[in-house]
Amino acid sequence: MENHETILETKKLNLFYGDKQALIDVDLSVYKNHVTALIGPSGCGKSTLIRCFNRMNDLVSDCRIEGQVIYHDQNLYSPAVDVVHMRKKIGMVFQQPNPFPKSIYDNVAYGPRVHGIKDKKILDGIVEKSLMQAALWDEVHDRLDDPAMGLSGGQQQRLCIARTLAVEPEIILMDEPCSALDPIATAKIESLIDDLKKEYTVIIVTHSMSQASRVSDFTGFMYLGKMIEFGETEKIFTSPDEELTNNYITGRFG
Amino acid sequence: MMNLRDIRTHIPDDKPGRIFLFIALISISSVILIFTFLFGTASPVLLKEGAGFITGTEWNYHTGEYGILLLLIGSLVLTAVTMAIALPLSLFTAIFLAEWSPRWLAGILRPPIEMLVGIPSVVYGIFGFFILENIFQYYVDPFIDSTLGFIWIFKDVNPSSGISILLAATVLSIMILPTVTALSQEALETVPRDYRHASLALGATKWETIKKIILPAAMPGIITAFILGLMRAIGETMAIVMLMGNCLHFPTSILDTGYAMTSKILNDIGYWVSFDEPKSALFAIGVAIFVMEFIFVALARLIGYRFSIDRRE
Repeated sequence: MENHETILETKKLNLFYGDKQALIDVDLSVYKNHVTALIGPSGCGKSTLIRCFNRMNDLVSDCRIEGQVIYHDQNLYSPAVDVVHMRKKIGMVFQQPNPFPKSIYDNVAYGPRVHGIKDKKILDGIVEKSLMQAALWDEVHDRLDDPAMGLSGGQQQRLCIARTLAVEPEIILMDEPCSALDPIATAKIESLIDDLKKEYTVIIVTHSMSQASRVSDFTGFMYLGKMIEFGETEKIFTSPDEELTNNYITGRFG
Repeated sequence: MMNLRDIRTHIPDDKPGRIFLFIALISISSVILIFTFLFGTASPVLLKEGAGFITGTEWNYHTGEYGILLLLIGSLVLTAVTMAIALPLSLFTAIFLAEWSPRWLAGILRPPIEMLVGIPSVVYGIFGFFILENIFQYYVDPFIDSTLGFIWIFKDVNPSSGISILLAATVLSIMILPTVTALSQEALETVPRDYRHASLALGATKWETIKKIILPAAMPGIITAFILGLMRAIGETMAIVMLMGNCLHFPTSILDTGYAMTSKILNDIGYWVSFDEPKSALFAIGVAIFVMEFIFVALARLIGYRFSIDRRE
């Protein structure tokens, strides 16, 4: 594990919603160009944790965070951090496909436009490249002006991935990206994740253990706000060190 | 085509369904009754005047001339000025309340804004007449005249009085402010949180998110809010009678006086209602107001549709 380059790291991360502590002393290293899966039963804090990585928890008014999230030698929670710029580098795909009520083209071009790209040719290029990367280009290239809402759920989710890729992030956070999708759409997203890790670092939260074992290189198992065990996916799913992990992956609770 | 048999299949076969249908029919028929009555009473003068009813500038019961052009212009100018004041005011207030203000502040600001709805228009009228009129005469009108007076529509044509289209429009704006604000705020707040999150997660700032995602998504609701405000503005009478001067002429400036259609009806109906032709003429103004509202609503919907529709930039 030592020869992997760490891109994101949490140190003694504690998070509170009001009085309730949702994360307890979480230490985690995310390795560059690998897929890291976070698994655990509902309410274990895995979604809360992933939302710390691009500070989406800032939107929750009574949320308080202690500890550090280190990205490029900088604590994401230090006052010097430009949250807007940081979110450009750490993109997010949500549980429910959430394309904007705009055309397919405008959805993908939204991020680049917000970041100041106006040239039509450049935008066209970004849109095409992003849709290609998200394995959606072949299905939509002849109807880019159609409303995104007309796509199927799986296509919408891939559009959301394309939209994230369009701003050229380093890390892509995926919060249960397949939980609203059927098995075929899920399979497409999973093979897409495998392609994405060549250029990007992916962190995925999933409630499906089989998904975690299929797509990820590293897996963290969380329970009641704690990171119980973290390691190579194969090891977590075959010979975990912790009893709790073993009980979870063998389906004894969850 | 729908024949009688098709209609019968739409009648609910359970008791509550039938009761609700009956009650719905009462309200629908009252609307139909008003239309019939309005157009019926107005038809003699409308038929007699023809297009001259719209294009005529004379309104004389004794000679039997009925042309509403000046009244129409008065109403149009008043509505335009009102909307120019009320739209930015209420939309920006709504955006602030929905997006920036912390919950406790919105909780404090909402009730007084909503309370404005409950104030009767005659109270707005006397407030405007006894308090704002002076302020407008001595401060607002001279200020506008001295800064923008070189443009003819901002010229203070009667410095001896604060009564003007602008005064009426200002009071009218305050009257429609709560409705438009509250409904716009609601429209903004019902935009799915998902859009907001997606936009922020792409590195858009809050303002970019509001401008590019939330406003367009809320546009249908905002348009509805504006339409309700617009309807109230066009239909308002009491405060307008007191504040706009009721002088039948072509207003040259927003600081000039004017005469609105609704004011004409209110001022004259008490006396002239007992004469057949004048009564018909006054009802014809009512028809004109109705048609004007209809056109404005259609226009607002069209504009709103163009704003909210998805197009490449």
